[in-house]
Amino acid sequence: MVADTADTAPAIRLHRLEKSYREGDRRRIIFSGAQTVVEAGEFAVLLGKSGSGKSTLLNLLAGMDSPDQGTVEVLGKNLPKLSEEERTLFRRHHVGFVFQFFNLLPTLTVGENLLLPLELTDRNGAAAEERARELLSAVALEDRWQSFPEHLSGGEQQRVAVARALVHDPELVLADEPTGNLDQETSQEVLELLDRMTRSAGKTLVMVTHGREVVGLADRVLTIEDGKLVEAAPAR
Amino acid sequence: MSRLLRRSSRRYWLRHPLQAFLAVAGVAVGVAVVLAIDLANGSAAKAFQLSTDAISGRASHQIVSGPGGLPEEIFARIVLEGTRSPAAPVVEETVVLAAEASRSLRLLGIDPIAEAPFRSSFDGLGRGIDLGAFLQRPGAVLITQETAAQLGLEVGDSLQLRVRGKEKSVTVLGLLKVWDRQRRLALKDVLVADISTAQEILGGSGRLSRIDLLLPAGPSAEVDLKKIRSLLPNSAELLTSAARSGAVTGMTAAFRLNLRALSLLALLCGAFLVFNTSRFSVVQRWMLLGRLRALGATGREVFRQVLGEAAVFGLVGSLLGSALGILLATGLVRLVTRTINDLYFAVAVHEISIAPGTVLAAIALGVTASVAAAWFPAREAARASPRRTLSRAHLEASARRRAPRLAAAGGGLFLLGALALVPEGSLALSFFGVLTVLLGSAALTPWVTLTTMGILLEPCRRLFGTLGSMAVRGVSASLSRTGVAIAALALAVAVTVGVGVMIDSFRRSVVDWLGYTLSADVFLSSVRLSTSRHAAPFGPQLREDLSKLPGVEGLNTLRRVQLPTDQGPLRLSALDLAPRAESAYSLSAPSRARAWSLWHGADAVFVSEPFAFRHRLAVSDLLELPTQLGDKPFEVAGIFKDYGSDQGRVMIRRSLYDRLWADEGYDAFSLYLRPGANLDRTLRAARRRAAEVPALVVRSNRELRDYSLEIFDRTFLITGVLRLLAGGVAFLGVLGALAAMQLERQRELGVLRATGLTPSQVWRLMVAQTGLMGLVAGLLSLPLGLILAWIMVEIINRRSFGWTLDLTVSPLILAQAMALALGAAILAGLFPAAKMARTSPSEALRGE
Ligand SMILES: Nc1ncnc2c1ncn2[C@@H]1O[C@H](COP(=O)(O)OP(=O)(O)O)[C@@H](O)[C@H]1O
Ligand SMILES: [Mg+2]
Repeated sequence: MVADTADTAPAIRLHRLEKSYREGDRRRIIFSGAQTVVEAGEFAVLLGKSGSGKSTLLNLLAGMDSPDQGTVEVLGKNLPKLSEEERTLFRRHHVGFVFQFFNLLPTLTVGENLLLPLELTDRNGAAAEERARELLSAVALEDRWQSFPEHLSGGEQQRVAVARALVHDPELVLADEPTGNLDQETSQEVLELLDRMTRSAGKTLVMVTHGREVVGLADRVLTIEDGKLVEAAPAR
Repeated sequence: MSRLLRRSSRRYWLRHPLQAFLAVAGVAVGVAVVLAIDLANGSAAKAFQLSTDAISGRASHQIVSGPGGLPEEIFARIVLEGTRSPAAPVVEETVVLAAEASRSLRLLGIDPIAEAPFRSSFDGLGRGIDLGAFLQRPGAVLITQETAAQLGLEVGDSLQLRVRGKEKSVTVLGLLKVWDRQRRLALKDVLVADISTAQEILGGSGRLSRIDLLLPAGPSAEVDLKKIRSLLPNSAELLTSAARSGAVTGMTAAFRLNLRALSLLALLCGAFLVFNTSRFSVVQRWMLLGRLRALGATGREVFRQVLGEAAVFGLVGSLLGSALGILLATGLVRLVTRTINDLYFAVAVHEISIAPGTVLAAIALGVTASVAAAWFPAREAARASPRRTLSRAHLEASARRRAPRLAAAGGGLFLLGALALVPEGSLALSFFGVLTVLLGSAALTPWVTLTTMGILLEPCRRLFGTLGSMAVRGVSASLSRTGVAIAALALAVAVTVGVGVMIDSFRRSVVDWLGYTLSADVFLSSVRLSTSRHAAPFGPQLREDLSKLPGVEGLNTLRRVQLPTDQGPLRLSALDLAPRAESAYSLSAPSRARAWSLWHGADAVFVSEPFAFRHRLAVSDLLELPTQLGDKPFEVAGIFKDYGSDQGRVMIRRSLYDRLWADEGYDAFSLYLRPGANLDRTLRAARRRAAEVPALVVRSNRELRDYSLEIFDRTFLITGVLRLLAGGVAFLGVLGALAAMQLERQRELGVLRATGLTPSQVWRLMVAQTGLMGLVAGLLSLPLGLILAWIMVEIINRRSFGWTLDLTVSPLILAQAMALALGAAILAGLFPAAKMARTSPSEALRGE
């Protein structure tokens, strides 16, 4: 299975990636011939000007968008070759996502938000709840199990989102400016949480961010320039 | 500022064309239905007016009589002794073509000399016609060019008619050239003859149908009227023309009022749609409105903007609706007039007349309704705060908090409506009550929705897991949207249930009634028994012959006449009943035996339920009837069930009738067969005999029953059409609400897809949600529909028609209602759900 190959193969391999959007009768080219490799267990930070295609790249990695051409290999699977259904099931099992805002489903309680990915991967009952509660206490919100997201602060919501991205034990975690909406202090808290939790579980993390301070934590720093991925040396 | 405000609002709607379309469509359909019903009613009334105008012309008064008409000498005496004002004798009767008994024409006999001041229809038409020949040539008639063309006739041609069983020939002396449409319609299918010619065609009885008078207004007329009255025989009445035609149009008033009320219900649904759209647009633009306020737009400006948008929707919708309504009216007018023909009187409408006033009123109504509907959303918009722009979640939370209070208010409205239904007498008040009950239950909807979802949450979570509770909570989370959609759907389904149960009960009652009333085996009646205003009666010879047909054991005879009274024509049925028929009548009287012995021996009558209701009569009361021997009191010996006429009828035994009215005609017969006799043989013999008589049809018991039910079904066809239209508007409402709801939850769905929900899971989730909404709507609609049915049966029908119906509720109709609510909701949810399921998750996450 994928888990076996993940040990040997890189977590992410992009090859000759082409992606553009139509805008009226013009084409806006986002990627032309981008390529890179991220090894399993690495923490990669993705930088780039606003509008340069960072979110687009994460969407491609999660199988939520398709390239015009090229390879998007994630955990040994070339996503463009899969059907929509297959890509969804792949994402369900192997990917966790944290967005900038509006992560949590407003119609579910915090606990239920955490249970959803487990349920989707057929984990139910007491064991599932135990796992969800464990993650919730890992983000120090165990007393908010019954709350609805609207009653949580922005930072608390993001912490729940981090827990939810990890609860079903995915190999790859994608975070799109997860702290963009938060103040400096809270932001640092959430970042460290993400880093700690993915690293301790040996997961691959790709994070889009503006904050330079993250760069210090990352194994690899990628920048989008002219439709290509350029690697900067990590600070460490 | 306000220019930019307007621009911002225009762009918003351009970006949400579906929402705008639904609001406009809602108003359009509502206005179309109201206008179509108005126009159809108006056209029928107008057509009736036209034909009475052609008949009564400019007469101020008319002298009319019951069966047998007026003796001719009266006219001479009135002219000599009664008044110096113009007077004109008229003979009028329906005749049929000899070759085609179903094609009827109206023979109108006039006195061309006396006529001049009366009938505008003939003004200037006499030119080129040989007056001497018109007066003297036997069988000379005038017809319009159009009628001639239709019948394939030219000047000099002759036409064979069947009149009172005999074949008669008339000759076209000349053609009336009519240029204006109204008069052409009024004179369609009319044969104009000199009065003596007409009398001769009709059998030379020397009797008149009517005398028209043109009395000047003022005291001198009073003197004349008194003098004329003293000259009249007992059976004749002197009526003002207005009273006469007013009484006839009054007959259909209740029918038309019912249609009007139903059409307003369709508009109510349309207004709901505007409310829904407006409300949604405010919620969706909440942030935008807050920012506008921060930039300095006043609350009042925002309020006006939202109201202005609704006014534009109202106006555009109303304009479209008027066009649609005029189209619809052409279809409906046929249904309306057919019902009027079946139930009340003969009227021919060939086209609708579009009264500009009616159209303008419908447009004004549409605009008003949509502005009124947007009132609350606009007020809400004005409260968008520049400081704390509340999140959508907070808005919804406040909607949830308000639900119990709204429900309390709804309960209050409900009670108020129920109270308004208590006092009898005012139909308008009753309709107000119905409307209030409906609005009250609409206000109850959000709370009922919350409560139901609360109950369903646990079971759904048990059964379907987190997605199950998501579906349930999704309904209460968007309460401001779902509540309105559920209310609209529940109302529409309730109306369907209510009208359905009402029609069901009615039909069941009619079937029962037919079951015991139609006890005979073979029925013979004139083609248009129900509208036999001027049809010639059958003679005694036919009665003789029928009683001798093979297998016949007994025979009922029926003569239907109309007696003129100040309250309009009174329908009198003179019956000679075979012994077996008596047991068939469902009489309400303290003692049946006594009722029948009074019927046979005393000056007694039976009256139908609606008649007793209208005239406030009870058993043993006295009823005065104008007989040819003067006004006479009759004891009401019993009250019988009768769904044949909402005007009500009076039944009198034939022998008593013969004593008081000189009339030997019959309108219908029914035959009882000897036990073991061959029905087919008797039917065949009856048909052979009937072939010799024009306009006489023979039906077996089964055929007549079917025919009666066919008329019944036709009567309610238009109700069914309206019900459908109201349902259609509600469906649009649900569709709009759902589409809007899904749209604003795009981001949420994006997150779901990112978490790993497959498109088909998203689809199922959405459809489950709309299904839940349908479930609540269905649950609400059942009690509401039954209440509506009860109101319609017990209050509206009894109060406007005097009919008592047994409320019958078939479980099938309830199951249908539930299926309808669920089906409509799910159907409305399919499209938005499919759309959302197809949207790519990255697209959905980009959001608005
Ligand atoms: N679905 C889409 N359709 C058209 N243009 C898009 C779409 N998604 C993204 N874009 C465009 O692609 C560019 C990159 O977008 P994005 O990846 O969101 O940038 P960012 O680096 O800020 O996350 C932007 O100019 C954006 O307008
Ligand atoms: Mg982005």
